[in-house]
Amino acid sequence: MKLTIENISKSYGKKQALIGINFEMDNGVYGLLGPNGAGKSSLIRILAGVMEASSGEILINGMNRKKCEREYRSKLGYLPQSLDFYPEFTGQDYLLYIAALKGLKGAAAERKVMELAEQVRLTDDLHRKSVNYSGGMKRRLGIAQSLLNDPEILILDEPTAGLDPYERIKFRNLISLISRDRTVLLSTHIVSDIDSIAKQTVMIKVGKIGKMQTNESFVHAMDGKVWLVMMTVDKLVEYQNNHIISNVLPIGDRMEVRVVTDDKPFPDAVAAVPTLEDAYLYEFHNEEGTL
Amino acid sequence: MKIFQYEMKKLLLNKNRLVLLVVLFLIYILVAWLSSKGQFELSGQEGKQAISEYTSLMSEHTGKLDQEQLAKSQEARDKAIAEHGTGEELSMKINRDPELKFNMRYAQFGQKVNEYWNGPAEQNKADLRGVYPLQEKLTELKASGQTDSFEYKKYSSRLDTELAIGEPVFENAVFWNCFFIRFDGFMVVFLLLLVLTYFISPLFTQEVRTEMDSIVLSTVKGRKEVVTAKLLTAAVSGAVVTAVYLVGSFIGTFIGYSDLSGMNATLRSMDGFESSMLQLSAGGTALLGSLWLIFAAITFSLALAYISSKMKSQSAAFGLGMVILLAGSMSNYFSNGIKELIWPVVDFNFGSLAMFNVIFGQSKIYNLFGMPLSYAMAALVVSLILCAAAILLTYLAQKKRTVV
Repeated sequence: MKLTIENISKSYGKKQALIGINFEMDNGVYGLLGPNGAGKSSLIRILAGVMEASSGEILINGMNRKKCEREYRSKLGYLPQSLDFYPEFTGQDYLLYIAALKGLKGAAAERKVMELAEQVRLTDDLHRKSVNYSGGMKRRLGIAQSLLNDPEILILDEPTAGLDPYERIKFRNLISLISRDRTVLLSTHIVSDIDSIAKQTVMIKVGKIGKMQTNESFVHAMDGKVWLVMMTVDKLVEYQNNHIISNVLPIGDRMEVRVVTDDKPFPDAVAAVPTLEDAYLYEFHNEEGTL
Repeated sequence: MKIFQYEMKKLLLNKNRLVLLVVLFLIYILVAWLSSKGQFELSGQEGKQAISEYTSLMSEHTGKLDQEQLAKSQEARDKAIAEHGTGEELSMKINRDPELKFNMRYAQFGQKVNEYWNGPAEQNKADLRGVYPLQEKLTELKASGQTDSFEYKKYSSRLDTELAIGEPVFENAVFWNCFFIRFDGFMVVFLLLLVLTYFISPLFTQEVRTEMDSIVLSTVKGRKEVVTAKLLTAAVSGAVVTAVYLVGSFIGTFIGYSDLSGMNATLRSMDGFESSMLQLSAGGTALLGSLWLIFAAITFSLALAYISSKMKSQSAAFGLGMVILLAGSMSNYFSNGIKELIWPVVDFNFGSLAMFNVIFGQSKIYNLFGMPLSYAMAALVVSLILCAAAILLTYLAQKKRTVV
């Protein structure tokens, strides 16, 4: 399955939310990284077919999606950023309802629901009203519904919001496992969500995207730009106002500060091994209102 | 089918809605009981005795008009009016005296028979009534060679129906008269259609409220099949709530009156149906009326489904539904001049379309390209058009729906 996004733009009145977005995806996990308000959700909604782009098109194996809308939706799994549930439905009702909407029938639907409930650890809670679930459980239920039809294209918008660290790891493992033969686009502003599992990542800021690259490429590009510096608290307070600080670690009465900058900030600064988070900070630190 | 089952669970078959339905059922019984009990302003044993005496008098005099009894009843009526006037005092006297109540009713029946033959005292020259005036008019039109005119066809058809139905017959049909009050516009609009507005308004808006619309719209059956299921749910819910209204009203009326006499009485002998062209018994009319009310409720429910599909919140959908319903119903209270100008709204608003006793109780005729079209037939056609439009527009709305 090859998904091509060609020159997608979206505007809300005078405000341009997306400007000429282009990238391509095949099987594997792809990360869409950007701060809140950057346009991630608009792009995700357009890809999920629940919002119309102002211009541009989406191609499925070279064919315009509008010409194979129904087929596309039959292959799609989607988890929106925010989601609530019907007050009358138990977790099982909810999953069976979505299964019916996805065209799953009878015993096959029930089997799939039980299988996914097991995977997201909701088996014991399936008969409870889903509105009474905790935030993490609701998110897991949302993840389960997105997988009901064994989607070839899986679009996840902030999927780990509300999950605890254990659930987050379980989720990453699940996505890694199922991504071998399908396309997964994972939109997030949490770098660690895609750090280890994304085949490639694209960063989006104020409606524009950068080049789709592997995480290694992003990290590699940061070689020589991440430094560890020891400084006092007073100095740090002054310094952090006009520098990118990716981490601060107290050591005795001083601070070990991780600085992201093009040039060596101090003569005694020590070069550090860069991470995707450093690349993210470097990419977005100049965006007004984004950091 | 599965989607429909879950839509039903969301809209109607859940604990809250079923409890509400039971409460409504009890209210409907109570309202109908209180209404039928109001036949007499007497309570306890006195009230029961008055109803029994009244029923006996009604039963004893069933049949064609008895001129001797009519004279007695007219005399009793005139005496009562002379003593108590025509206002509140007379009403109180009637509601406490079963014999006077019977005499008033028999005198009224005599008036109905007279109108059957001679037409109403204030005859509408553009819409003649009564066998003799109709015969005279047809003779006149025939003489002037207008047998192909709309007017001739209309009166000819009306005369045939009048003669086929025949002269009104006096019947003891108090239960049915009480029950038919349940089909009155005010009752239907406030006790049924407003309730339906509340029930149906969340049909689509709950997807927006729960933000489930994103998921529903992204699924393979989220644009078409889900609409089919939701429209079916709206129609079934409309029918169920109406059935609850009808059954509750029937039981409440029966508790109040405990007598089903008059089931075979002709519709013409019922209050408010004096001009009806239907050749049906009271029982048959109650059945037809119930079916019509269910049909009208389904039409309104489908329109509400469309409104819900275009709104973002349940309160907005409920508000708009209520405004459309009440604005239409209020049009019936405008002056005649305004009513003539906006007659399609007056005759075919959702409140009017649900009023079985008006639609089938009147002899109103429309001129459809020179052909006479009865109000009932016109109401049926308009309702079907409204249903079809609501269905098509709802499919279209869901097809174009986006999430912002």
